[in-house]
Amino acid sequence: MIYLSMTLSKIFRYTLLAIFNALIVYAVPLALAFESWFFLSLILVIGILVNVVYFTDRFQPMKWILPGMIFMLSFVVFPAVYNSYVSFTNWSTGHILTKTQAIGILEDRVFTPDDQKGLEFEMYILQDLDLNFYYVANLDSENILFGRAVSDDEIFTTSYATHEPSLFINGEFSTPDGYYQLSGKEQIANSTTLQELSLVIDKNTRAQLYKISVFGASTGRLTSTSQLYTYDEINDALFNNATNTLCPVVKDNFECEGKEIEPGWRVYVGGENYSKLFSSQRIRGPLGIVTKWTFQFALLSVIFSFAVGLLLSMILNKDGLKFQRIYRAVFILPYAIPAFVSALVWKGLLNPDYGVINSWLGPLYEMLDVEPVKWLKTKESARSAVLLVNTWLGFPYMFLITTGALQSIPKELIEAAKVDGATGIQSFWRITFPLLMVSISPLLIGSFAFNFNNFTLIFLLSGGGPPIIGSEVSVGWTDILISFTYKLAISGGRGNLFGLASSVTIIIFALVLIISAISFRYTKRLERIYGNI
Amino acid sequence: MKTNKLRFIVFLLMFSLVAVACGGDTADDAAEAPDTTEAPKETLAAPATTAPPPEVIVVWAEEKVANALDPLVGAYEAAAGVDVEVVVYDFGAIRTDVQTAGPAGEGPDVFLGAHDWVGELAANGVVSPLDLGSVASDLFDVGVTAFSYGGEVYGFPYATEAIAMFYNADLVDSVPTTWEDAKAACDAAGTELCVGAPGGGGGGDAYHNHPFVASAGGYVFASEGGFDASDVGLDNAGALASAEYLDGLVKNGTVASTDYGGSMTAFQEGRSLFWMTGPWARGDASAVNYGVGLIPQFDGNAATPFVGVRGAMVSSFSDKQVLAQSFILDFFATVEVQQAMYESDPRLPATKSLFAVVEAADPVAAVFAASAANGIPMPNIPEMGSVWGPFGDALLIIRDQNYGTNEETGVTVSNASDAMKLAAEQIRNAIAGG
Amino acid sequence: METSRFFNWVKEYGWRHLIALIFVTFAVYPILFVATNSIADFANLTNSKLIPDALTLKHYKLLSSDPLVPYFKWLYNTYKVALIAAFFNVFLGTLAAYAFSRLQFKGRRASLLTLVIVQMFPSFLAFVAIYLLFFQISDIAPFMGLGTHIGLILVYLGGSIGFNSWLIKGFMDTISPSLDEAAKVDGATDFQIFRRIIAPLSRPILVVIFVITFIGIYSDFILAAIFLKDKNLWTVAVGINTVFIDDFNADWGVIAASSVIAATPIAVLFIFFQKQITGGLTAGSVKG
Repeated sequence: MIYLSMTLSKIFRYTLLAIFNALIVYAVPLALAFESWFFLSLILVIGILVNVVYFTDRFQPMKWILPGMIFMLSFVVFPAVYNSYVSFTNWSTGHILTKTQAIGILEDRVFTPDDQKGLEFEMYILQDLDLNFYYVANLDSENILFGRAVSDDEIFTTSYATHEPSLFINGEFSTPDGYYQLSGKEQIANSTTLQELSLVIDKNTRAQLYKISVFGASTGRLTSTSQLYTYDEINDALFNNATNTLCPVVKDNFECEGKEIEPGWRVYVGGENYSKLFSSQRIRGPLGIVTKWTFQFALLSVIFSFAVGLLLSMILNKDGLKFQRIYRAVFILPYAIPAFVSALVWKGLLNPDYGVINSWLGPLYEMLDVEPVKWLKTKESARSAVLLVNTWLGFPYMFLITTGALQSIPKELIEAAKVDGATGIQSFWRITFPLLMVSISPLLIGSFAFNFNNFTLIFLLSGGGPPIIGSEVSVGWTDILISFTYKLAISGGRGNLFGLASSVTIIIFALVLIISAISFRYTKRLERIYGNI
Repeated sequence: MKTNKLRFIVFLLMFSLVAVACGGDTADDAAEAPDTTEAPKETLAAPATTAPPPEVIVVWAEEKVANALDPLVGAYEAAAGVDVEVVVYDFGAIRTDVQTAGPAGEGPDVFLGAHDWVGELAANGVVSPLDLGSVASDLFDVGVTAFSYGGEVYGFPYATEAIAMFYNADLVDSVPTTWEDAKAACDAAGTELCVGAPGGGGGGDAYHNHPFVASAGGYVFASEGGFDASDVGLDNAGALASAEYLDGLVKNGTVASTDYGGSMTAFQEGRSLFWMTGPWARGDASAVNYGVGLIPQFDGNAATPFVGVRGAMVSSFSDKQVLAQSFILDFFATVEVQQAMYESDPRLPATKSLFAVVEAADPVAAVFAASAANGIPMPNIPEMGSVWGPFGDALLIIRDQNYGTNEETGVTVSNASDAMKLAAEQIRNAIAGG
Repeated sequence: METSRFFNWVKEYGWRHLIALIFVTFAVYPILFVATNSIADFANLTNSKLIPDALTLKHYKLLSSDPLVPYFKWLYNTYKVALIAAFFNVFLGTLAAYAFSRLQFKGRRASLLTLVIVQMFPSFLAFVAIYLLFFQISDIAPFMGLGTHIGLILVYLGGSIGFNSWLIKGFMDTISPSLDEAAKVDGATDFQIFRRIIAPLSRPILVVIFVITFIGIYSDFILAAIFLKDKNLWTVAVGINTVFIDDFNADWGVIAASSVIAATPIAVLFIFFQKQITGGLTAGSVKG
């Protein structure tokens, strides 16, 4: 029986593997065709892994872990790698395209000699029996120009347009024999072709289709016969046809007579972003303040929410307590509200002038004869507010897990301690708490890591907080590293600085990694000491 | 033995499946051949038959605008034989996505956005210059300027907006021309707050507060034919004087320390006599009987609010450049479409002809327009990104009277001038160091 | 006698009730605020009162009948995506946790730790990478590309192992190995042990992980906003943020109403299943 089932499972496994490989084989050429390099590398890696792991009987543990790992590789590892790559580039405003794309955009630019600027005229599009296109440009009564519409490579070899007054009879356009006039709708249907064609008027001028109209006659414009720029591969420079100058490459832009031509492109800049972070005075100063606060914020958030959650679960952890179920449900309730809504609500509650918090504390303020606290407007009040709200947001989760953890501690241990004469406090600290920490500490570490990067709360509640006066970059008292990164990214000197922001992200990760690694080593010790119950 | 045979069969199965996949692949590849628009086979009379699949014009717009545009495109679709796909997008997301999606080949053909994106988009090469041609004569200059960058125009402006001053018509007849008179009016009316101007109460708002510092000689970037990032005017004599004047207004209670929400509520509940904000707030303001007037003058100069302009732009990664341009100029720019747009998202039309119609019918709009006429467009250069933070922070300090010394940085801001100088310095450093 | 019984009660239970009630207020007040504001006329964030002056159902009406706001579709989408993603998340995490708990191999702890730490990478700018990746996927397999629910669910599965597996593994560790041994003697394979013994016994932790994952996905806005452009596919978070939260102002009444509608099923579940949800973190809490 078992023999048969083993073989069955093998068949099952191989069939699945076969189907999987079939899919991979199908997808690879498609990925190549679409030049989807990210996707291609991903499925190759996954394909190899799956085959290696599932083909043989070895790698038993990996068979269980790989399914989840595929997703982690695709959506956590890959973005992280990409992020690292970006941090070594100059990705910022003006430099988001590849060099090829930038050249493409620049080469598309046309220019019009000054004396012909602003001229707009009617254009008619004709087609002959061989399906060639012809343009008629009605510049003025002396210049009703007719000729074949040619693509860019034929511009300098084709004959010039000729003046054909016969095309206009009594001011109305009449289609000559042998030709068919395209209506607006038909022009649109062929627009992708037509937009590449021009009517050559003389050595330096051509007419191009400017606006296809479905409600009237289409219009055209005059432009120079050459594009504004031509890329010179040999010299790796851009040739400006209007001014006849060469614009060489300077790092990540072409420069014409000292002026940068936009768009530029992405280049690899090595560790420049990282050195900028550490050497730039502008950034270093606030970086210190923000880092310190980030640690404080994450640590205190965990401590406060854990304390409240634990307190509540301990209070409710009493047999015979009435309404236990209702209390428990109420305490998890904040968890059900989407976080961004909660942040907004609290922002309103904390409003110094009209918010409820200050109205309630009104009598207290009067009693102590102090000014109402200007929540979110001063450094201390903003930081306190942020911690308060984060505690509100976090304690249900802590309550949830501590209740679970408490229930796993055998009552016998507590009883035994009581018998030995321990007080409630003693038995808590010596028995309950350590046992709790064995199972909870990883969660606390996780909560710390989460709050270290808790962008949503800071952004929605305080927007980074009251501004730090005198800092060289715009930063606030409640900004944490990640919101500071965001501000850097969007408000860097000349636009966005994604490369720089990426490097800060990597550094944040490095920090979190080091702290977590250390903390997990500590919990290993805990596990060893307190073991499994 | 049995195992081996079984294994063999299984391998066979596997490889045959793979082979099928390969085979199926090549068949697929053949069918995958690109859609070339086949030129219609024709007689002279009319083109025959196999009409190529209609072109699709993809338009990205925010909610309200998309909802206005969607019902109108049918006419163009029929006349032009194309499909117009209007995609609803989160407004801010349009700006960022056009830059990621465009180069990746997934971007729109046309997108509707704000003029202050132009610098960034043009520098990144994702927006095409748009030749306005004859349409330009019917457009207000401010709209065209707003969409100009580096000597080229990049969009067709369709709506402008600027802030003005709402007033509670039950308590006062109009907005006085000077701030002193405004204060007097408030005292006479006995309201709790005088002018509710967003940008205080912890919520820095450089946009709303621009008139306070830029009406009498101050400016963000010098704007002679395009904005000049090397010339920051937030700490010149005019700006400093204006800032000190603002400080005075805050101190004597003319301008309250409220953020946007606070000023709105105060106005709605009749606790503030004036509310300094823009046309989008008309719905909210209707909680009371309201009127709109020009913002009081500064030193005899008309108040200079920031003007925001919305427009239609063409993505440079679209393969239908002429078609996209034609869509905008031949269809979107027509008065019918502009009118429908105005009716569903009432900002001020940027086209002169439509504006004349609207102005006659809606005197409130006329006031906003007059206010905008005194304004300047927000600078659309990428460097503007480094302005909002420091500028807003400085104004916040003045509005909330948060003067003092920061122990951590040792910097003292003891008056409004200090705040403005600090902001200007931060901006210059950001631009230089970025 | 009566008084001493009363004092006894206070000592045993009374003080607990007192503290609990204080925190009930702390926990519930903002929620009450949301609820009452959902029926308030002229609801405004900054100065709303707990008991509004004028009551109206117009916010709810808007959500249920405005053709431009397919709110209930959004609700359906949110629950659908969150439930499916949470389910598979737990499934994948449990598989991995079983390996870390039951199968002996070198570097068990280290590799599990690596997974956990890798997951902590700030996802902030990673969204650009995911966006680009899914552009490419959209070309080849459009049914799971950008703008699809499937694609979104797949991304959420990126967090399935790592932290979740750590927690589940911790729970599994407390299930006595003698059960495995007994089953092995009977000739059961690893998978059978997993399916018949370990997984069922792990139910308490699986429920907890499911709830945590579900809430995380249901609240997510950033990733969903990147993926879903078609209005009819939005989740509640995306819809509310796009339509009702503006540059300057938020339509607070509608936001409150939408939160009430979205959160009610979850709240109800919490109330009725709180026992299962606050189940133990170790098998020791499973009686028998």
